[in-house]
Amino acid sequence: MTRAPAARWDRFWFRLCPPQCIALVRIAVGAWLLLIWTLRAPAIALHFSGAGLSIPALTVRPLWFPAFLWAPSIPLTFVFYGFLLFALLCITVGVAMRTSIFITLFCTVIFWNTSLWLFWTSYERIFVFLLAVLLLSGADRTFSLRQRIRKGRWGCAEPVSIFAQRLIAFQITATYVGVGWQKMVLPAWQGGEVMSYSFANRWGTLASRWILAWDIPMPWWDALTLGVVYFELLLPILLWIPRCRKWGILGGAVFHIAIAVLMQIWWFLFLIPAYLVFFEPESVERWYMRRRTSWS
Amino acid sequence: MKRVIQNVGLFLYLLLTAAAFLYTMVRVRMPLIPWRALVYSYVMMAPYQGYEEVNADLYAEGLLPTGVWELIDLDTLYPFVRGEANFRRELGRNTYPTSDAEQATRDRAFAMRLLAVRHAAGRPYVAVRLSHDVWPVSLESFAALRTDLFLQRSPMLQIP
Repeated sequence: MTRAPAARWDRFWFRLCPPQCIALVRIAVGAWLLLIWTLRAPAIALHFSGAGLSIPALTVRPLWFPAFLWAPSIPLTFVFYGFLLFALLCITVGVAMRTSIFITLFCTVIFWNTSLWLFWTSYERIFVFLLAVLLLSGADRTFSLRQRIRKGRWGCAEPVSIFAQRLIAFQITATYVGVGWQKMVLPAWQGGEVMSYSFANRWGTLASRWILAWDIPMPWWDALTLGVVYFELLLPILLWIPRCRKWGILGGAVFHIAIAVLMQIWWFLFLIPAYLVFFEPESVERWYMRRRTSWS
Repeated sequence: MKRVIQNVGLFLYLLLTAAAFLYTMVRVRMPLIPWRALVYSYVMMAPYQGYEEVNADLYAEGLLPTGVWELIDLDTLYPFVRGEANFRRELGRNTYPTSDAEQATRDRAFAMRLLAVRHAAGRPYVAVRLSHDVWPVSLESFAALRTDLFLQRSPMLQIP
């Protein structure tokens, strides 16, 4: 009787499982970060080097922070940037994954110090969390160049611990519930003004201004705001319950695509493929096996 | 042994997340949780908390040796989507609120960097001054009402 909960705990958090699910998350995270950093190329010298507009975040250089990394020169910044892109490519294709994650985190610290005061928001912190979790995940045990080199096949699979997958699922849950809860109590989210102004202010797009031009009455904006708050609270529940999961994924996809189209905030789109972590890895493996059989 | 380490790591993560969640809900700090770690976890749960009822942006000018103040086009220096560029030009005001003195130090450091960057681009400015622009939102576009009629410009600083 006393061992049953412990066994269930162990099974939920630590059991060995097929790697396809976490490998797909690795590919999505690597590819998404690669896209984000590639799009930042025109800003590298200006916003991530000591010769640009940024100022070091830490007002006093700690002893562990080497002087030449404090506010790196433009050539050195581009060397780091090149390493970062290459490391992200390696994470995506699944070769030298741990080394590549270390390089990515190292470059992130350098760029964090040079650009912290300018942009260091929720999604960037979530990405650092994801990379740290992937470090321990064995996410390169299938769909990877590593397996192609070692085992002769990209899709050759070795079991991994489910721990990383559960941590990511738990963090996504905490993020949605935390965000939803805050919006329930924050004064700014008690009426429809937040939505209407967000469509018109700096985050507004052509599409959102087009909607504003419909002159929708304020009670509809109130309802939309309330809908967003409750949806964010409800979404993780939908994602955890197998029977409701497809509605959660569909709702989450529509939600994040709408935010990207109407408010230019497109970075959170990576959460859509990350919903994979809510599936049991064994079911993802079965799905993959069925597809592989039908393809072959 | 490996399982013990995993459970300890998991416990610490769950404890930190619970502390951040508590802080999120009722702004109560759990004792013994390092503040930096708490803030890190909290911010992962805190995107888009507020909104602005007016538009605002940084306004920068450089003083030429002839004595003429020239507009510095900040948009060309911020190759991001407009919301992100505008957010970055707040210089941490909303993301990292701090004392007025420290914010003034940040602003001054930024102005120095701006002067250096424009010098490197061949603009022989002898001084740079920053202002803070505020204007009403409009359906037409972000900057539609950034005109003399609606604009409020507050001087921030000048260097040297």
